[in-house]
Amino acid sequence: MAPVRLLVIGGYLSYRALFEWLRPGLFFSVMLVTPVLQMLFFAQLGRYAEVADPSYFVIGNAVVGCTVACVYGPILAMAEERATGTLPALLASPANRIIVFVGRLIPFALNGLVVSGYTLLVGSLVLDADIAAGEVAPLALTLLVAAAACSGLGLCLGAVGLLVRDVPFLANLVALLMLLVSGANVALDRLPVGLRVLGEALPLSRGIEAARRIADGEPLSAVSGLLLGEIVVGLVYFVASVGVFAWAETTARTRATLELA
Amino acid sequence: MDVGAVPCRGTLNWERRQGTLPFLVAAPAPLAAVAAGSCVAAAALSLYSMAGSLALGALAFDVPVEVDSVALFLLATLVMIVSMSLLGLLLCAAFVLYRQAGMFTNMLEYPVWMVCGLLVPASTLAPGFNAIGTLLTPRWALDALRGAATGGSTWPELAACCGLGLPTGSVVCCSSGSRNTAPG
Repeated sequence: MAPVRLLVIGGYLSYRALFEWLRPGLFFSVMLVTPVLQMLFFAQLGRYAEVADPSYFVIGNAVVGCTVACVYGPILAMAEERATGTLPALLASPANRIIVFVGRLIPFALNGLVVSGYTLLVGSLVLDADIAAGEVAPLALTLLVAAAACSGLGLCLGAVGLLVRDVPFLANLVALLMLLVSGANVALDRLPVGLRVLGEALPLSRGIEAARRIADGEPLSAVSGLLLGEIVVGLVYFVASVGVFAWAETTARTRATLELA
Repeated sequence: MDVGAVPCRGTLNWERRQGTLPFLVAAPAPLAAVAAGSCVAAAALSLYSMAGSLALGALAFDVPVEVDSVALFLLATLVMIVSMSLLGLLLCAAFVLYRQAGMFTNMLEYPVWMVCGLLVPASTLAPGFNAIGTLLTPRWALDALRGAATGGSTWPELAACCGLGLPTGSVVCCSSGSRNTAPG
């Protein structure tokens, strides 16, 4: 029972306590307005350049919209953990690190799902993106998988944030990279090879492709390989985050440098 | 586009984080004067991002970078720095009064890009949005830069940019005068 309590309640409490964007004003502007405006901007750009129809950008930006919660969230939460002085308590606790991290991943993944779903809904209403009723459930599952994988990356970056000083810069850099190389706005086959490889190494590229194929009418079974790939990528980042955190923890104990980074 | 406005609003936010903002506000020197120095410095420093973007476009993506009138282009760049610094100063005033102003100004980034015609001509927007863009100095600064680069119209755009910059500066001076509100 204790691990479940740690997973659910611990994750919920850390999310409520450390994620400062949950204030209504900030949540509204950062989580609800900005992703929609981003989608409208790229849809307008795509329409002017005659690259693709608006639904291409609606789906791409809906999936990538989860980065505001899933990438920034864990990074800011970890930075807040350090700023508020609760990091030593976390390090000193005997709690299972993997359960602690999974517990912290779940709220951000659900938050990302909400942002993506909302962006998709607004996009389909404003830009007339055609999404059939039967596609809603597979799309929701795809968005959840993408958001969970993205949260894995966010946790990994949050752990890296323990070692570097300028965490917001890191978050901005990764969010911009995902906007460029995830295939949300520029098709992967149009990118240079290096950027394409980077896009495939980051979460969301498979999720975006899967979501587009589902919106085109393909069944969930046809994109199961893509979703499995997205899960694997997310797991790799999750394992890496646990590893980085363990390394930072060891370094902190031996050199007492964790809170000085 | 981020030259000026974004770094300017970042400077006061950084002062707030470091805890030096209350001292700046309490100092006998006008806050606008202090912030203006930071804004001009930040805007001038961030010119490197403009140069870097042009260089990246030319070297990595084979985008031809040709300037029809170098003198006019430099003048337009100078006017752009000043006008963007004024816009940044205006945002700075919001930063002094509101702790979370940064998030709200981030939210405005994409709409400003759209109405100013950063990547898509503003004339393709609905007339109302196009009209909003004409009230913003970056719109005219961008048009002036494009005109100088392509040999098109430049002077009217520069005049419009300066004409809009003056009231912005006045607003900044007025807002810095009402600085008795305690910063967070």
